[in-house]
Amino acid sequence: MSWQTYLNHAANVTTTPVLPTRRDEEWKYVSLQFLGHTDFVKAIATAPATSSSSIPSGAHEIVFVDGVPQVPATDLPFAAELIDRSKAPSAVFQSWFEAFAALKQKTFAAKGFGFEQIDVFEDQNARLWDKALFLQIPDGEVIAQPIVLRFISTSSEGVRAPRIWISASKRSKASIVEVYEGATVLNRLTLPVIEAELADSANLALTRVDRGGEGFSRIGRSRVFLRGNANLESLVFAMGSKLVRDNSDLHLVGENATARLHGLSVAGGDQVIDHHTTVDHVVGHCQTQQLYKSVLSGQSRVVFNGRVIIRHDSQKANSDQLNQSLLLSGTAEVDSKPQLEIWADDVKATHGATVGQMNEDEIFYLASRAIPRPEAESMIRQGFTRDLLMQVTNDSVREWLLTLQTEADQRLLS
Amino acid sequence: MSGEYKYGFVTELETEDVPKGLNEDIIRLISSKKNEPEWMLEQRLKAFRYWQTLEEPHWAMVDYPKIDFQDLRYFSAPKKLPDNPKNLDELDPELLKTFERLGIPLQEQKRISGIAVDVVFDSVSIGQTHTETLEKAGVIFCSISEALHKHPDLVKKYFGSVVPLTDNYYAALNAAVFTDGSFVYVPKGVRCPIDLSTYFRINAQETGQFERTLIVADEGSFVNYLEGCTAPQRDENQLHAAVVELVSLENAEIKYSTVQNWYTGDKNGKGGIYNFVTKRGKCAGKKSKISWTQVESGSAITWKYPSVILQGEASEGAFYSVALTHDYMQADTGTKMIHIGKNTKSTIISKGISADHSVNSYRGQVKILPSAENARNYSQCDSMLVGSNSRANTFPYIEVKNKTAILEHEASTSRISEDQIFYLQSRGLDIESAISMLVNGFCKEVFKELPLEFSVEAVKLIEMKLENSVG
Repeated sequence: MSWQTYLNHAANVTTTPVLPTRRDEEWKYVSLQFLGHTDFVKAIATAPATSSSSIPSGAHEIVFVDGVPQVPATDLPFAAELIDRSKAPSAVFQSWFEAFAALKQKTFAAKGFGFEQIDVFEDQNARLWDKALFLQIPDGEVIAQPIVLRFISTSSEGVRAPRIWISASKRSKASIVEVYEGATVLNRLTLPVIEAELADSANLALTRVDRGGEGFSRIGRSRVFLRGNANLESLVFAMGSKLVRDNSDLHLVGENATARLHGLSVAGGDQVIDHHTTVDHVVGHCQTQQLYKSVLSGQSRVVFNGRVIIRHDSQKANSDQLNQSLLLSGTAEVDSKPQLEIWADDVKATHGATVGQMNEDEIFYLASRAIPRPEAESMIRQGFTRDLLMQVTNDSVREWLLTLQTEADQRLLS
Repeated sequence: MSGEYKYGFVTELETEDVPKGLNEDIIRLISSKKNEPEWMLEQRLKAFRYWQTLEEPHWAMVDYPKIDFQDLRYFSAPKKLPDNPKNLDELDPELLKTFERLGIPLQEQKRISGIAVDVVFDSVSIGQTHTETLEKAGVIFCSISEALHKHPDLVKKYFGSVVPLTDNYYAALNAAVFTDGSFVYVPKGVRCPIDLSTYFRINAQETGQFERTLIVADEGSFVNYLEGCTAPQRDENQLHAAVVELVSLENAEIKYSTVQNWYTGDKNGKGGIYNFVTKRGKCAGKKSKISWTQVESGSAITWKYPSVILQGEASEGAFYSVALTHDYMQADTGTKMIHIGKNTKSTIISKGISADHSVNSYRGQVKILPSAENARNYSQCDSMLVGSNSRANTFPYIEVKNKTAILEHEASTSRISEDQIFYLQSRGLDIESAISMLVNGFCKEVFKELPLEFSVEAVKLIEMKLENSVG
């Protein structure tokens, strides 16, 4: 698919999408009724970008105001190109885009796997974005400082549609952090789409943090292709927002690629957090690991729908999946739907799910050490999820996430 | 696959059929043939009218050509059947021979075995054994048509109470056209003295079998119920859409075991039975128990989820399943455990084995409702792949709405490892016995839940079916 074909396709997308209902298997647990009155038009920024003190230290920051990226003029150790829909993008981007589109098409064309994943929201994203971002990490470049993409919303009308392409070149290493924030006013909808390609032996960490207000909703998709020996480390940390629907798709197209998908949800009030993952072992000898943990209070709801596909030729694939939930209130709800679809015989695939409540013995143990109950409970809650954060390899991102975790835990109580 | 289907023969019998097709007249005809009370006919018509408003479901991981419901015969019965066979000797000798070939000699069984059998041949129940012993204990075990006449109150009270007419597409169809099936009522405090069993046989061509089973265990009673099924080898597909309802009252226990061996279709996937069944039990009373044990080794397509509604306080549900698919078979099977009452417990053990080109999916749901304080669930579903063209899928749905619930789910998929085979071979076993031993070990947790006779049969069945598919 050429760049022009993509734009033509996007121009033909309907302006009045039909939203999925709970009758759709993919939306079984989440009602989108509250979005019924949304106008699918571009949000126009009403205020300039503001700075935030709460990002990892030393980070390169790119701010998206109502979906539109503001690329800083300073020297960056990576290429950041602003793609304008009305202008022809650089030759570098065009040739990368074509190769990527071809790879995508080839992967999706395989019969029997039902990749009908270009859903109504991704289509709307394609129609609505004005300016997109293309990030390219150069060959062999190791970038120690995290690259932070911060998404803020100023307008109370319309829909935000950030669009990002990431090309991690051979043997490069980088850590990209997405932060979604703001919006206490009802119905601010963001529909981000992020696509990435990890070239041979590339190493990429993708961290996504949802800390929006109670009026903020994100329905997003990230799609990552991993070539041989590439490594992906992904973490989705949902601590705020009214609705988070995170679709994380992974296609392992090169042998010996490894990926780790982690998810951490701390939900309270009437928050709804819905994780959908698709891990597609296209070729053999790849390893994937998924671990999603949630802590729920109030009337919140957390969904985990993890789909693992091991294709016919993906012998020696190794895939683990685990979903663990800690229920703190009688009105919260957990829905877990791990799915394994296995077409090859010489593979190892496991999945597990546990749901439970706070362990009284542990509280008693801490009480006997003179730790009062509220503190003991907080320790147990944070201990339950901390292992996920401790595994983040970038030091400054990890430190930042740990402070966010404490913040999320305090919010749970208020 | 060398283990040929030995039940694939056809019995030549004169049959009494209704014309092909499905409409209200056919339903009236079936009802009048069975001399049913008016309320039953009304229910049937209601179900039929509802069924007409439904769309055929397609969400399961199975693939089959569209079924033409007008091209089926909804009633077929052997002609020479006495009106009310009190004695099995009165039956057509051809029929008796059929069941001897199937390994169920009705005559001898009366004397030597300790199991009471109800035999359902195409659309009708042709007789039961051990009726006297059961009568003495007060247990009612008869065909559902007979029960409609002799025990109308019981049937009216429980019929459709677990699987309502409107439950799903095939349940509605069944409620409209069901022809026969078994009815069991175990009175208060009675431990059913012998095991009960129903044997289903499809014989006629172009028919569907729509049987209906209703088992009620009154307070403090216990019953062990077994079910077996076979069909002739035919090139066209035949539909089997049954409904099974179990009701377990306070302190009662029902154990329901199935060895399903319908014709699977030939090596190229031609023919075979479509087994689209709704099975559900309700633990209505305190401390009641229901357990489903199934060995699914037949049918071209199996699509069923034996479920338990855990309504009574401290009630328990269990599901033990071995599903084996080979050649071009497809199975989408599992269970549902709906926890409503306090302190309810459920266990799910599912073992799927897929060989050749088959697709084997486990689909299960565990639902903990807000009222289910201290609910407990343990689920384990393992799949084993034999050969590299088969597929194994797992789709568990876990929905928890109560924080006191404790729930564990685990699943794994693997194949028989070469190391294991090598080890057994080095101990002098040939490859076939090594594999059979490993498969049996894999299924052991389920087999041990089966009654003894079935357990032996199940082991043999699996061995026979897997012959030559490994190597």
